[in-house]
Amino acid sequence: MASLFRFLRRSAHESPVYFYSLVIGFTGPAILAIVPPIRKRMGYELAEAVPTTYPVPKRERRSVSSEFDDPPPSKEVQEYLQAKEEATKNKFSHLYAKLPSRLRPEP
Amino acid sequence: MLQALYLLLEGVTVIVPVLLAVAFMTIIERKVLAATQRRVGPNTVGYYGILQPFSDALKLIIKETVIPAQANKVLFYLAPVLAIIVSLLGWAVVPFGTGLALSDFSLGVIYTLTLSSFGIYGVLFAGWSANSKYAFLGSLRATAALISYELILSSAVIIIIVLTGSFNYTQIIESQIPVWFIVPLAPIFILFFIAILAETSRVPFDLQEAESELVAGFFTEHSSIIFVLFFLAEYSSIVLFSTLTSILFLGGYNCPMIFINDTYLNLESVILGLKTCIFCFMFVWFRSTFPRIRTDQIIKFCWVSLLPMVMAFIILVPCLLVSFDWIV
Repeated sequence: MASLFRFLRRSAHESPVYFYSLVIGFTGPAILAIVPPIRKRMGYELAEAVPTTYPVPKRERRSVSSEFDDPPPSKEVQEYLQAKEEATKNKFSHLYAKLPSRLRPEP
Repeated sequence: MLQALYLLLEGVTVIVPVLLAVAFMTIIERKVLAATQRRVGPNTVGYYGILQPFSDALKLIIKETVIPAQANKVLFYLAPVLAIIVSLLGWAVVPFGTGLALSDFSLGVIYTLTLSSFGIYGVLFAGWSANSKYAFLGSLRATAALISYELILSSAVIIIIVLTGSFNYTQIIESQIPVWFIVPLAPIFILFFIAILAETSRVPFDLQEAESELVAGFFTEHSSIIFVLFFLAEYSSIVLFSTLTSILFLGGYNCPMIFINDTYLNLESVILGLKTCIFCFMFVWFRSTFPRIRTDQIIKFCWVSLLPMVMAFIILVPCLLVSFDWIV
């Protein structure tokens, strides 16, 4: 034991950088081995995670009636959407022609 | 078009004050050096000599540009331009206040480290292209030192990244609201500051500019405006690294709540500036205090002394974090 102490003292004097680097470096794994069991025995537990959203109910999602918040589009909107769809079809008709028949959109 | 103009304006809003800060950094250096040597320092041009940098710049610009006959002219001109561009690009990710950054890049720290590595090319090109043995030796020395200390710098930054769990400067600043990292990471701060002294080629690591041996190092043959660019790049790097140090260790723009207000007077940026001034002063203070050390000593100091220490802390800090449940 005395010879070990003398070796350590000599190392600390002769090459302090390596000695203290090794001391600091080995302190880490030592703490990792010693501290968590002690903390567990003393009753330390992980704090509950801070909520980052509202609590989600544990049930299936209820369907919302579309009549209430998503009414059917008016006649003008329907006409507009139809016109837009046709325009898109016409625009890409040359591309659609190259597609196999099963993938081609219905006329 | 308007968007492009707006972006340009944002860039100019950052670059112009930075260049002014760089200009005044030179006069600060000369004044502080004078004070440490019990001299007056420059005091003729403007009040208290504060216009001296502009006088110096004008003098350098109107000088004749002399290029060695056998120099590689493309690289000779490219090197200073590369140096200044790389050192100014670093400002793109610096947050000057809450939400006040040109780019709040999620990998800002990696971006900065990459740019600091690119800075080596300017030095290398300048030394090689000049076709002068002094410049070449200076650039070789600089490259060896920069590559070596890059390792220490990156390792020190990695410890902060482990602690905050983010590469983003804003998040690193926000993590320092409870305590500045200089308190728990004081040894890392010392290693980091030594590394940035070497990265910016400042005393006592300015061996590539060793006047007594190498005339002026890698920019021995550069004169006039291209020399100004090297000069600007060096001082811009000093101010940039001082800012980054204050962001990484002194909480950046964090300040007591009493200074936070909703007026147009943004005191967060002023606080960041004041913290930066501390480190800028330290750069000059070290220059006036320490003698230059030999090139082999510098390299040995990095690989034999600093590297084992930083490796020890790289092991210690994550172990502490895991042991005390700071990271799971």
